[in-house]
Amino acid sequence: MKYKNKYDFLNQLAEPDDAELEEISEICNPLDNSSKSRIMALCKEKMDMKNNNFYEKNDSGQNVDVIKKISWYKHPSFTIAASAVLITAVVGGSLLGLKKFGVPDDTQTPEAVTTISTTQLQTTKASDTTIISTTGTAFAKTTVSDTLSTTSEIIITTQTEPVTADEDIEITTVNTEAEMPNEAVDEIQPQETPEILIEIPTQNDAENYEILDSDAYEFMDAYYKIASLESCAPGISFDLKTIISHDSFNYCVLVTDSDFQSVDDIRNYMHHYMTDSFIEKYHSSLTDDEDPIYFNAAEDEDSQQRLFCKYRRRTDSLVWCKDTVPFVEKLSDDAYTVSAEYYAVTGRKTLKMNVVRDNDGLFKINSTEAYY
Amino acid sequence: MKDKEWLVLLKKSPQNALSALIDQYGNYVYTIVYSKLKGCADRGEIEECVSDVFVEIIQNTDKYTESKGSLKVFLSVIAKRTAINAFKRISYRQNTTEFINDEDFEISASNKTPYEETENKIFREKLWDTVKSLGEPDSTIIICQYFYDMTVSQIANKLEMSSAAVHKRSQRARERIRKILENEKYL
Repeated sequence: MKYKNKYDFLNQLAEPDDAELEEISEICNPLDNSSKSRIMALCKEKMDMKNNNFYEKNDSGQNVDVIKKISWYKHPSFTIAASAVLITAVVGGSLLGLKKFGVPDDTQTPEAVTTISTTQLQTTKASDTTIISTTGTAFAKTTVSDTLSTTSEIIITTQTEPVTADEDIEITTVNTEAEMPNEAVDEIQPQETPEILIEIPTQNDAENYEILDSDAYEFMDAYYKIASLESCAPGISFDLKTIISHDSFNYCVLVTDSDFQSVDDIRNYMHHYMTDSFIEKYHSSLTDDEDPIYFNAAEDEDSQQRLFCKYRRRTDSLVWCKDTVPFVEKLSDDAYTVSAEYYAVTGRKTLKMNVVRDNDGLFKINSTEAYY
Repeated sequence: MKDKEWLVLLKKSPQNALSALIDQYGNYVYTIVYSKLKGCADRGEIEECVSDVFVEIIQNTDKYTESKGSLKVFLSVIAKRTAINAFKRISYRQNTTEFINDEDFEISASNKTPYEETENKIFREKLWDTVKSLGEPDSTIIICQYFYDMTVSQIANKLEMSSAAVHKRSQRARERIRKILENEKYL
């Protein structure tokens, strides 16, 4: 069997059969624990949406997980205990003539101390619940530890007016986004379905996005520095764009996991990619029959002019950001020209890069040229 | 965990059964889905699709009986179908003009003669044997590079090695594979 390039035969590894897929999964273990957690969380989310049979049931037919999360306050033992606390407080307060917190001394109304002690509430809560009590207002904060690190708060407030034994406890719940517990926005009725009251952060929560963006901008900043330092920098920029966008999920890893001490480090790093992974893998498989690779404009509006593109193996093309249309022109078996438009700091430029195969059979950048 | 044990666990606690399923077959399902979606979906979309597979498994366990084969086979069938559907959906969203029939995924349309097909199959078997014979971490490096399309940095991160070490090992491993295949007249 003949192959055009030195290691082309290895491309057969990209299209394994069923048995090979099984072996690959066993050798490489592509899912780490965090990936498994994300998948588990996605599954739970979808199961929650589709039906209510996903969780374990208790004897009453209630979902155990839901109870663990936020419904402990609906448990009969809690109701009894809370009522007992209130009755004790009211009766005790009336008998002892204690003063209600925040009520002027000249109030003639029988007063009650509405402090619910931590100990009293803790006996009725789920094991993963933390209780904070204050005078006048009792806060019950429950932290559910599951794969999503879901956090919710349930606030139990008594009336600010003198409490009587037949008054109900007002129960409100807020998520962790609320700045102050007293600013609870959602009041719930006990019969409401608890699940809808919890805002479960997804894997792509805002915090993670901020981290990704920050790293990406740092990386791009480095690129801009290179661009201002030497004329061949735009040639590197093409590589950089590809690296960043090759896997939008992981692109920040390239930044954070690389120990760049200087601009030279970054240049060497990218040059390394140009000579091996990028050129060899993506462009050595072009054949005479194929047209130059054209790039579709990405629909992803989130690119924010960060030079987005994706390599599409199945269609053998790159999905590029905005309206830039780079293409690869084959000059011979050992030489290609890659052209691309891109956004530089100083404006939109066109990069032309000549790539040739060296004696080792690897493609390297021979020269680059950038112009407005 | 054996299939029977898993079915028992499923009746008792679907959530724990799901967790066990992901632990045991997560890598396998991910690999199947990745093989169909690579090049058109990012990791997030692939994980999304993997989760779809497991949800479908949980919701269709009544359709699964041991007499139909192992749970692994059941999983692989659903994984392939789900991945193909995901591919169509993503391609449509990305305004891709090409449409690939389901059959195209299963049958590689080629103009090869039976002899060439056989020759190709023998070569692939030899290639895989050779890659596996490299030992760790070289086998993983080559597979990550050529199947998972991982960059050197990503591989280095996964294997907790330096990028330079991965690069060198990759070069040497590829050369070793080539020489082995050449010596045995496969190339």
